[in-house]
Amino acid sequence: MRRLVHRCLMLLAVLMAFVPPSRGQGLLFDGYLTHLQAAIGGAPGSGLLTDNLIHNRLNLNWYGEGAFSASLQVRTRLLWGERVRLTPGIGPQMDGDNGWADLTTNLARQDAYLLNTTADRLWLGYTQGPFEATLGRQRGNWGVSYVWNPNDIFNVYSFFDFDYVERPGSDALRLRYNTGMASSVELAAKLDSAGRLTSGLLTRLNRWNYDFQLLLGLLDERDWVLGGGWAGGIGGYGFKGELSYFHPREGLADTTGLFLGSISLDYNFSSGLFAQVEALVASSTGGVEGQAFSAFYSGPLSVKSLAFAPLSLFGQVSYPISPILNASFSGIYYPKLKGYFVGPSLSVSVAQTVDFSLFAQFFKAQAMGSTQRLNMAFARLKWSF
Amino acid sequence: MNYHLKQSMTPGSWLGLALLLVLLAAAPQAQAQLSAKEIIQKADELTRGQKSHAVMRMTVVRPSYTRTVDFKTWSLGRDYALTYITDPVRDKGQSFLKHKTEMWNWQPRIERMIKMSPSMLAQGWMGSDYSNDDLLRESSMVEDYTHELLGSQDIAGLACHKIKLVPKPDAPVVWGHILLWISKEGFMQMRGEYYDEYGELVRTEAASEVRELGGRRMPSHIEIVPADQPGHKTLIDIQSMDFAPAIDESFFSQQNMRRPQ
Repeated sequence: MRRLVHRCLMLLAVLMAFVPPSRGQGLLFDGYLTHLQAAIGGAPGSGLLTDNLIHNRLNLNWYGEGAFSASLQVRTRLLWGERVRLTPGIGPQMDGDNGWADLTTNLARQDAYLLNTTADRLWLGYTQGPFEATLGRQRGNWGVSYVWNPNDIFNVYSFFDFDYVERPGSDALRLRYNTGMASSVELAAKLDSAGRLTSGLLTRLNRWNYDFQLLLGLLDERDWVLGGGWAGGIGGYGFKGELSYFHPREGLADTTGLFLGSISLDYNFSSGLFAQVEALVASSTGGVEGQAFSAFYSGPLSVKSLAFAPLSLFGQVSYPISPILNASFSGIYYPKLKGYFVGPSLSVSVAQTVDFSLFAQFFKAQAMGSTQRLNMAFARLKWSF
Repeated sequence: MNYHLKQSMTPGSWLGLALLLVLLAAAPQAQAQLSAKEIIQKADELTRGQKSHAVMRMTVVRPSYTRTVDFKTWSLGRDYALTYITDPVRDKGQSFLKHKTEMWNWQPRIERMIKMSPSMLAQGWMGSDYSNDDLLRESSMVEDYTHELLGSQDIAGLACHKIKLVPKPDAPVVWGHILLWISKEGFMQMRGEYYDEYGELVRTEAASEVRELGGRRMPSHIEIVPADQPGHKTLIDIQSMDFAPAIDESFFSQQNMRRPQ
């Protein structure tokens, strides 16, 4: 079965490469091709590891004349370089995903390279008036904030993975009834690779120039979730936030739950400078605090492990130097870990469909009884088609 | 998220741009002996409270490069607007919905509906040569200025009224004064010159290529040229226009933002 799925995927990926780009209703085909060069270093003087990645994304979306729509989106990556060579475990680690159906596979693996493909969207949609249903691998995004999303119980991802803005999908059924221009009721249920159910009901409302949402859910069959979020403005500032409370189903009365809250402010200056700050507060870090630093980068396994520290503070400024040149600088401070993340970036539109970007990421924190550092720099060339 | 936002256009701009362009449309109605204020009012009124659907291209021209953005836009009165980007492919499928003072941005790549903050609304697109005031049309060309008819002049082959607008003392306006050339037939704004408080020319808007769009005669090409930056300009081309699209308020919804138009 698994093999069959892989073969079908490969066939589709090949077929898609030959589908002529479409710009109208019906079949829409687009995607991008990037080359990412990375240099990764640890402590000063320990040398640099280099890493290369060619990354292709193909999006095939179909919108029928009637009520049906469908999507297949395939992400294929070819990795080579010292990191692939020196990390024997990277093959098994990437050969599979957390979904109910495993739609990720290594197409080829040698000492020097790894070719991996994943279908991170594969869904069928049905729309009838204000009612929408979507079945299959999809990204149901319940988040409101920019960096940390305690309300987004269906997805986990790493903020630091700038090369994957689409984020992974989850295998789910989503039913949505749009009750108004900016209001809806949504019911969703997903299964993960262990067959565990996560489900939730989300209500969105628009009142007093604010978007509000309320959610009630079950996470991984283990925890009840009660949450809410908002997005609006105070004065000229954008004001957003999310709160979630997780409580174990077992021993409802005698155990304590986990509270996660993110809150943010942003402002767009008339010069074009955009600034935002966000804070994440956690009543407990569930043991992730002492983890090796690499866990910071690879991201949490569950929305409950979103916080590395009781308090995390984020800030970012970005500025369009010209219509084709954008600079940004972001940072996160973890007071409890005496640690920080700093990430400057520069992006230039080389041509209408080609972008070149430079990113750097510096991490430092006290973890596992020592000071850990991770320094990375990336250069990316991206062609969108 | 913001990174992608800033790479494309800031959202306020889309709507403002759409409004600005709709403002340029004017029905051909010959009127005689109007005061300067009435002429401006005609040009203004004719663009209000109407439905529209337009397909447009914006081109930012700089000395060493040009970039284009193609988009479709729908509006209903002053309260509703929806803009959908079709090119560049990087931003394709991004849409912006405006309802009164609120605005949302749908980003298909990250599948997120983003509520725009008030300061984002007040933001023009940095790449283009618009000021925030133009984009938002917060000030009223009719109410916030005093108007003086200076005479007649031909612009792009059309007889125009030349009108000077001076802001009232407490008006929320960034200009020292404005000169507008409004066509005698159709009340089309064919040219605008915007001056700062010291009387220096800041920006020129020149409309041309008057043709039949959606059953009306109107300029289909507008050039915005900043006075102090040689080689810089922004071009707007209206490819098609429809003043009676089959839409009502229910068209302007988050559900519709997410569906390719």
